[in-house]
Amino acid sequence: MSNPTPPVGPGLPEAPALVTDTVTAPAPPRHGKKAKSGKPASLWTDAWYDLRRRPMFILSVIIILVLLVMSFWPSLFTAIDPFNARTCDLATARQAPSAGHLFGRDNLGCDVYAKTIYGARNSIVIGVFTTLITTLVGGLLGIVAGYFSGAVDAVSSRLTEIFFAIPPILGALLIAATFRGRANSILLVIIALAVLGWPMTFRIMRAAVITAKNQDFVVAAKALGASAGRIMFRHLLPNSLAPVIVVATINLGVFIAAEAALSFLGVGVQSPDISWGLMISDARDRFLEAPLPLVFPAVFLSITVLAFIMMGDAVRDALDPKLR
Amino acid sequence: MGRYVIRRLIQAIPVLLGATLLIFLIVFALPGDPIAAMFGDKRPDAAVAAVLREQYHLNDPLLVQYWYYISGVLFHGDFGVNFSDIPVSEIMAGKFQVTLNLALTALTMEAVIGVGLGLWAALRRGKATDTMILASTLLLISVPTLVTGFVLQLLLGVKLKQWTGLDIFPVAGTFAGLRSYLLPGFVLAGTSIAYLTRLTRTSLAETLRADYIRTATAKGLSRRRVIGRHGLRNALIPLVTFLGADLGNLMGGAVITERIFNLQGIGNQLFTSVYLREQPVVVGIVTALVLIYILANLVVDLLYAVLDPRIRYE
Amino acid sequence: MKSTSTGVLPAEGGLGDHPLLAVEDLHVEFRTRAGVVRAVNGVTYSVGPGETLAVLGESGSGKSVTAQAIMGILDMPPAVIPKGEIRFRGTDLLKLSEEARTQVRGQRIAMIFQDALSALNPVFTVGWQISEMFRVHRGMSKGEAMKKAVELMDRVRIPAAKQRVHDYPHQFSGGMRQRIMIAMSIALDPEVLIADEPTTALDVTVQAQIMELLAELQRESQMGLILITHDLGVVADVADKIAVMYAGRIVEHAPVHDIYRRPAHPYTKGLLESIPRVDLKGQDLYAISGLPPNLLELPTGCSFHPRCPYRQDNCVTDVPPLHTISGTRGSACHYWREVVDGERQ
Repeated sequence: MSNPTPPVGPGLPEAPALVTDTVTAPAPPRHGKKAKSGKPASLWTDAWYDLRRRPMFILSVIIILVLLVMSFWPSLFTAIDPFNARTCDLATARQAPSAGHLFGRDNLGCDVYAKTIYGARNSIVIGVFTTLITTLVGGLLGIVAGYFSGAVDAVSSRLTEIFFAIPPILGALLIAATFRGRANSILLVIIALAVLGWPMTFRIMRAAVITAKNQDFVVAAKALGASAGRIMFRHLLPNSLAPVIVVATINLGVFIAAEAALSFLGVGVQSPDISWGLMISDARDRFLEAPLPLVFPAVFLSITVLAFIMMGDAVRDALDPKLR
Repeated sequence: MGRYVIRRLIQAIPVLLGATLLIFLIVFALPGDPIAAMFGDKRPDAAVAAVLREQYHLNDPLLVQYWYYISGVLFHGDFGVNFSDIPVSEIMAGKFQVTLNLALTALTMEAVIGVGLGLWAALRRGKATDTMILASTLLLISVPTLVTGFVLQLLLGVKLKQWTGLDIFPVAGTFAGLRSYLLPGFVLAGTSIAYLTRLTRTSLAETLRADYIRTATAKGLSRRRVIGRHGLRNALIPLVTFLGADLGNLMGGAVITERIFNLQGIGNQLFTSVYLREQPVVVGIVTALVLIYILANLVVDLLYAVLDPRIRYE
Repeated sequence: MKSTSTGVLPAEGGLGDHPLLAVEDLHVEFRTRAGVVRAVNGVTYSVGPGETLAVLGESGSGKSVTAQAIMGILDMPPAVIPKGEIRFRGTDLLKLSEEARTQVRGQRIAMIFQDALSALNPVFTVGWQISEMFRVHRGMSKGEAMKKAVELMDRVRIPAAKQRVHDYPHQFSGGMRQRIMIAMSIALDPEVLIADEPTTALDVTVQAQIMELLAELQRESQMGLILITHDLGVVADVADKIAVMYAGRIVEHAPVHDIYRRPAHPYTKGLLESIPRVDLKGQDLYAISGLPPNLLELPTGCSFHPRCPYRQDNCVTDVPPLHTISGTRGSACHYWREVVDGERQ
């Protein structure tokens, strides 16, 4: 990081944020000093500088780190092992929170706190792997389709149109319901969500590649005889990555919410595996009399989704100040 | 305009066939005997099985089966029968009204609240109101329907009545006319409200930066007319298309909301059929919803041409 | 808007001692996050009835910002007018209330923009947009106003106006669109018309037609015309006087012929010498060296000094006042005599 100048000039009273975009006069450079030194900061350096001073970003990073630790080492947070049936006691079903059982007990008398902590793992695993698959498949197809316009592009674009015609939650529900019991339930959720999720990444990557393709440096590389592979992965990929990363981050949250929805509908994660959606589903029948076994996983779920979407929002704003 | 309409209609056909084929394949390409599934634990009589096999075209290749199915759907409104020989269209009928009511309630709320908040934020850009509205959209997008559904039901449906005696939002299971759609409608619309707010805000803010807005001001028009007439008319275009496309989306998303609030709509029927493993009903419902979704998108495309003369004359 | 706003509209009819429109020591700055952009730094010019003032300068010289300040269409904030007056028939527009200003805008001072395609609203027919002037400001019915719109389109010589009044802006050619823009601006017979680079986006042949149309309309109505351009060639035939702007200041003002014959500022002289001329074919074209100034950090002294061939030590430290050369001429150069005499140091 070269030391950047604060964007507000010296001696200037606090200028209201967001004014630059309505200026009709010649637009001043975003960081006065950097432009002069002749070393324009790259998109990423600039964005990183911007991100580090956004409270929303920092907050989301902290939440996500805690969640990661929670999903790798849940026993750090609770001494109770929720997979051990002996920790449950039907006689204490729906007991209110107490010192030993912070979140109380659920309909089967199991500790809600321990289950909630252990539930983080499946959410994170499903979110991360679904995002990885959709980003790889959608991104790769997107680059290829964007670079080779013509038949490849036409076929893959029509294909995504077909996928886009199916509301994602319905499609995922259909897949998960059909193959229910025939595969590991967590794997099945990942596949069901990925099948419906990749076209979004495809579309964004393709659009970004088409924009980048017409830039001078790519045209020049082509003219110099660079191979298709080299152009795609050395020139186009780095220049089209920004929007894909933003969408991947946001989608990670969306997939976690979708997993909960599928589990709630009975086609997602299956017992004895633990999932926040499943906990919500289990607690639903007695919800109005004993809301806490539903509220706690719901709160964890919301905070997790919020953290990823917040992070995606922050990254997008940092990468493209115009969108603010 | 005519050419544009025809082109859109033609483009919709492969999408429609492709999407329905995809649904059909996902459900019926599975190995296993659907006839055996029909009889559950009992072993069907060989002769009966053969008749059924013939009746459902099960001896034909999958693609031919699909064609029998989709031509029945498209030309006769025939969505097949379930394992008890009840027509799927009969099972769906009546349930659709509930889901449509729910989706339309949600759409109305979306339009009123989303556009309203978006305009407010756009006109207060960079100020505290704007920041507040943006923060609440983030919250609305992030908190899953699942959570808002139960939490609002608890707070507004149960606690509000307990605390104030006001029975504004009926609780799950009790039905009180259109009023019972208010809370589920809002829950279903939640995420869309947030997206529409953001879209309205950017759309109007972008429009207000356009050169023709400067021209309108230079014509000596009042600020009210400049924004309300010249700005809004242009900013509206993406909003209408979003709203139209969202109707199909809302009907698809209704399955969770209907489960939470126990509304006997098509979503709840879908859940029940998934639970009972009634494949023909599941395929029928999903196919019907996808058809609605495609139709809504088509209408939006046409609406777009009406709103934007540049498209109309391309 | 200034706090001392009044609702008094400038009188119509006789001018008395007042010029039609006079800008006096106008300053405009944009307060942005990157710093204060000083776009206009003390501009003074005036225009009378039937008179054409050409404001000349490169992009960023403040000529458009000045015009937008006259119209009152600057976005404030970020724009701020810390100092100066814009007197229309003796009334300072900057002291008027927003309502009173709206009464002046479009009806008495109108403006034409550079790119008519983006300046016209894409979703309304051109007839709707022209007739809006009559409906809003004159309270006419739709039918009456539309009839007026057709008349105006005829007047700016758009063929088949009666049919084309129902077309949308994107269905017209560039030149025709600019004619529509002009029709809309002269709809209510304004006393002053500001044309901001009206021909820049057009083909050369069309440029001439549009300029001719403007000149003709001006002769008929005796309006004051402020013609903003960066193109010296465009203004020679139509302008009565010229004001040359650089870095937000008027560096020279003079009747049009004096400027062409004997420029009194090194910048004007550089501009004139950089016009390709047939009689000097084969010779190297002159180009002003250096770059336009950074408005965030204007050079000390004379803003033009880093690029000036006449530069002396005091140019770096002292801001040159606008020297009066004759009753109608002025130059903001310490060494205007040397420039006029053509001695390059």
